[in-house]
Amino acid sequence: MFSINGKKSTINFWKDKIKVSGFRFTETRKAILYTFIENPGEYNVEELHSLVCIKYPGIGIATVYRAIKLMERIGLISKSNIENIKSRYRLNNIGTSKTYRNFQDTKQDNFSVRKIHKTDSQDDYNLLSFSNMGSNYENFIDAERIKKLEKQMSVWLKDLNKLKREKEITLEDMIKNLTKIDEIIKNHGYNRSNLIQMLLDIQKECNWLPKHVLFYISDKLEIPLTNIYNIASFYKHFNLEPQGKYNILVCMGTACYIRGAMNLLQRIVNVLEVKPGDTTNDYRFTLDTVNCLGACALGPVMMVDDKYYTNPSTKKLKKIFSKFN
Amino acid sequence: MNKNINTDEKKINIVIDGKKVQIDKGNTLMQAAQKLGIHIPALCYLEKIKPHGACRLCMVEIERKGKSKIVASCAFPAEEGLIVHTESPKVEQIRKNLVELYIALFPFNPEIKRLAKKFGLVATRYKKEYNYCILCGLCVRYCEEVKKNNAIGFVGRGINKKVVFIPESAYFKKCKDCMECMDICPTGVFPSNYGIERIPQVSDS
Amino acid sequence: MAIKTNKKLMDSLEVLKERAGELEKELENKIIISVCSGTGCKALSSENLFSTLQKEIEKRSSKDAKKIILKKTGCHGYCERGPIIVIQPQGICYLGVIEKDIPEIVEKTLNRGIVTSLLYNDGKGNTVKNESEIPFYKYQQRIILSNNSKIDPESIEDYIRVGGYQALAKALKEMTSDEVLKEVKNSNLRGRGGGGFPAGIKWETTKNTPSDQKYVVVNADEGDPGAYMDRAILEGNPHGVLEGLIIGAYAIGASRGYIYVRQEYPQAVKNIKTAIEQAGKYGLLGNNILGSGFNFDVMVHRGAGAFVSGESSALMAAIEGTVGEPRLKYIRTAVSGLWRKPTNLNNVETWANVPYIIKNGADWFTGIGTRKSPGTKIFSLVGKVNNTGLVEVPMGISIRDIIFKIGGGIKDGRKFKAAQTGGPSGGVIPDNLIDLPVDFDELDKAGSMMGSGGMIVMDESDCMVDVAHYFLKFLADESCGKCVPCREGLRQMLYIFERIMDGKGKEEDLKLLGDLSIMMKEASMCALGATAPNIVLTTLKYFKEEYEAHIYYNMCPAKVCKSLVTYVIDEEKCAGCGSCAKVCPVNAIEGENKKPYKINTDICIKCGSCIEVCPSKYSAIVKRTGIAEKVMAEKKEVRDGMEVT
Repeated sequence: MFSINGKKSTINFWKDKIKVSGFRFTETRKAILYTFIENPGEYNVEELHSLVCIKYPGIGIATVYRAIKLMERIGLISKSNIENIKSRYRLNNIGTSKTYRNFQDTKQDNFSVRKIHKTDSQDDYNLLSFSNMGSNYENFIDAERIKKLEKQMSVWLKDLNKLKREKEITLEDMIKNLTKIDEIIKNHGYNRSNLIQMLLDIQKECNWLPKHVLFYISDKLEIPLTNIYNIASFYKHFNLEPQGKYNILVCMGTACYIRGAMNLLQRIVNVLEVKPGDTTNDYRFTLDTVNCLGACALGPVMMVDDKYYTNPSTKKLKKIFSKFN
Repeated sequence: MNKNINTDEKKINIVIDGKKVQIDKGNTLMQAAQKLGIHIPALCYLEKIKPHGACRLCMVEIERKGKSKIVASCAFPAEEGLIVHTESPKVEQIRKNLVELYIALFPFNPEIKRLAKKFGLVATRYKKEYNYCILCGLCVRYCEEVKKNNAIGFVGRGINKKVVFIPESAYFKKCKDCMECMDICPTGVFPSNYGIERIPQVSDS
Repeated sequence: MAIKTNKKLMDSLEVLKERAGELEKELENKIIISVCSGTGCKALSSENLFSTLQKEIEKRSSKDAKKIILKKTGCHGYCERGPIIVIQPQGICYLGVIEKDIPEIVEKTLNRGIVTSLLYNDGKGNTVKNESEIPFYKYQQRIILSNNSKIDPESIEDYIRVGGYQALAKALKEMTSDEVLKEVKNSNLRGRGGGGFPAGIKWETTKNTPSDQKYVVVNADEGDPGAYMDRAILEGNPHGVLEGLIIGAYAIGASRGYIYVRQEYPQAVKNIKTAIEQAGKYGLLGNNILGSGFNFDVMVHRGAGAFVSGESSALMAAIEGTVGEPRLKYIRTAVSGLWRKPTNLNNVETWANVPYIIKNGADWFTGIGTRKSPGTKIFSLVGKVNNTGLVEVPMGISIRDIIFKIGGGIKDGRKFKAAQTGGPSGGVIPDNLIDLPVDFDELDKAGSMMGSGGMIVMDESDCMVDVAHYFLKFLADESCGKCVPCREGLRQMLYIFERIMDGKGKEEDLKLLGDLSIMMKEASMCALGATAPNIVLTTLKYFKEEYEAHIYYNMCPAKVCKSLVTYVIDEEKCAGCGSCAKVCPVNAIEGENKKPYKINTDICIKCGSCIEVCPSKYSAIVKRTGIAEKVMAEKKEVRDGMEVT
């Protein structure tokens, strides 16, 4: 599928990767790489050696073997392990399809967190057309449509049920959510320009933006899904993951910062054992930083659910958090 | 704002690098330069789609009413009597600093390589962090405006901005038969570098 | 509180004046207790005080209870001494009120007495009774904020009582739209959002662009951290902004307006929505305003947490429903803005100035402030200053006066180091420029800018490198990420700063920062990227020695940068009480009772908890900086001149 442009870039990519890993891009390694590119497929060491010698004679099999081991280590080629047959090697695609990277790298100051989300494969999802769903579940007449809907929702439920929460979202809840969303869309006059306002109202209702809600809006208002995700991920206020019961906000405005907001944040992190942007395991608290709460005389400020606290010490923090259940 | 009286209302006269050219009203400076055969470097520009102004390599200096200004030529609409310098010292300095930044970002693009050679930049003083997506937005805009499929889009903002597909969406179904965005990507490695980014709602901690 | 609502439609200046007179008369012989309910005081439970007051007044005889009118007002501005209660008509100002004081306040007020313990005290035994005499207020010139302490923001009648909407009536009924525009142009009102562009000229461009539909927009997306002026205006006097907006719409010929309020201000959203509803009912908004035939209506649009959306083209993109990223702006928004129609965007404070200009005339306005920057400006004075709060001063006042006369000087008697103005787009003003007049052009010349009005005061315990790093991190997160110079430039700047603060800085780094700054200034798409280097350039210009100390001597003179600071217990002062070891979150302090304790520098995370609990009579824990210090800490040698607790 690569154009000629692509081939050269592939070579450059691996060249760079080898260099960055601290190894030299020797002639042998170059030869093996070029051979793989020009002869896509899987080969064991002997086959590869004979292929390499066609264009680059004089390279010994031991050299090839050593080079292959190295390239496997840095991820350039991978091995397929089938029993009783000699290992075969093939060139990796530049982005291995096995690991999907979470697009939300929460990087906050000294608390950088990289979430790696692994999935098995790319499931084949069908986007159902929700446009004629009507505002009540009871109004569904089409049994087949209901079945399709349930199948779709149950797939999404599998994702959501991975959460250890007291209240798990049921299929019923999901359908109820959609009813509320119908109302919100109606209140804003089915107007596409009010998308951000609609999402704000939905976030108030559900406390986060579940995936099935975003798909529903995309379908109903005929807004491309990429636009909705662009907006939902651009603004800090929108949560694409379920939140804890209580929101803890630490003010990071300039006034609070020079009065020691970073130390306050460190104390909270020590007590709750979560990083900023994350939720505690029992889904009670979500910790977040905010730009300015406007209570600069009280700085540094922590806000829990509309209550303000000035520079609480570690002891006081433990007392405060125990009050919130 | 004087409305200039031309014999042909739709034509405007501007001067680029000392050469005069007559172009239609509404054309950008880049289009005018192309008519003259002057090459202005650009990474995020494509004829078919609206200008984005993300790569900032096409900056030129214009003189208007005695004042000079630096603008992006891919988007600036031509005005009557404009004097344009595509390689003035100021522009060259900005472009040199910009290319140095690009070398730390993605040095393998032929345009960047050519500019680096021209300015004599071999190494960069910045920290090298190669990213095979320079967020030029060509793929996003192409899919949106030409193919009208909207299969790919931006997410996030600032340093954490990325380009992603959404595998569950109906738009993504059509990608297998299209794949035209791969040819216009300036880094040439897209989209196989990205694999497919799925938007997860659950994190396994 | 109950004000008699008279639903009579206002349709002329005379009716408004008459109604104002009636309402004023109702307050004769009454005592008004106003409780500050701005967000700052609310955080200090002023709502509680209000309900306690209500209950206390109910306990009194009905004759007494009728004498008192209880009112919730907007932010008074003196946030350091909140919660604040003012007794009108005498103007008696009580500071720092707590629940226990309420019965005494009610008692003394009914008997025309004063609670002296709650008055302003200058520390030398002199008290000040009157609000206008308190030094914090005395040196200000409060025009826009003056109504904040007098009116209930949720009552349109209160606003009418103090003369509200009379400017609107004058504009609609006695002036043509051209005359209104001329008045604003002659006043040379400059945009208060940061750009300082003359509002009258912007209005004129919008007006002269032919179109069937024009828009006016209020920018209340106050993203600067540490600035909350616009919130105080919107929460305390929403009708004032609304009136200015309607007058502007009339001058320009716009029939529709938008108010973009950031999501972090729920009280402001609520108050402005109430104001719009009330104004509609009184015939001051909607169709046929004041019977003049002019139609105008307003919508409130909430933001969702993005600083970059405060930029004018990004704001318009957000109102249109697409993502709030700045666009290439080669055609001005005054010519082609919202939905390609001429749009005029101004800041909240700019709109709030308009009714005063129409009422009192352009000459009155140009008489305040300087020639090139007339009028007043509201600053949020925060940081290491004694009196934090909102101050409204005439342009041209010196920074020294703001910080020392109004602000009461630096906290804890420390020395002034720098004042940061203009938020993330601005820069620092050092000690030797402290007599600079506050004015758009002077601050620009010094390398900083006025910005929206944040003024953060810093003393010798603030590290300039750290402050620059803070702003760069803020901008890197808030940048839209579209163009390469801003996104990648900020990323690389952060790497360089992290290296410098880690003690791994190199000499070339300073030149590198300079080159990067020049490029970002010219090549960025929007003002965020173009003004991002200002903080770096100003701190490099005025505080180069701090950068050099970080790079060459691995020293942080202000002892802030954690990698360059070591916490040490002075053995000669330590009494071995062990309070520090108890609070250390990583158990880095060890020792025995009555013997000097020791900090394990390898584990220490430098959070500062130990310094806070060390009893002041010992003050045994000190911060030391410089590589040599880490070695010396172990060798128990004490180096003089480097101690700050």
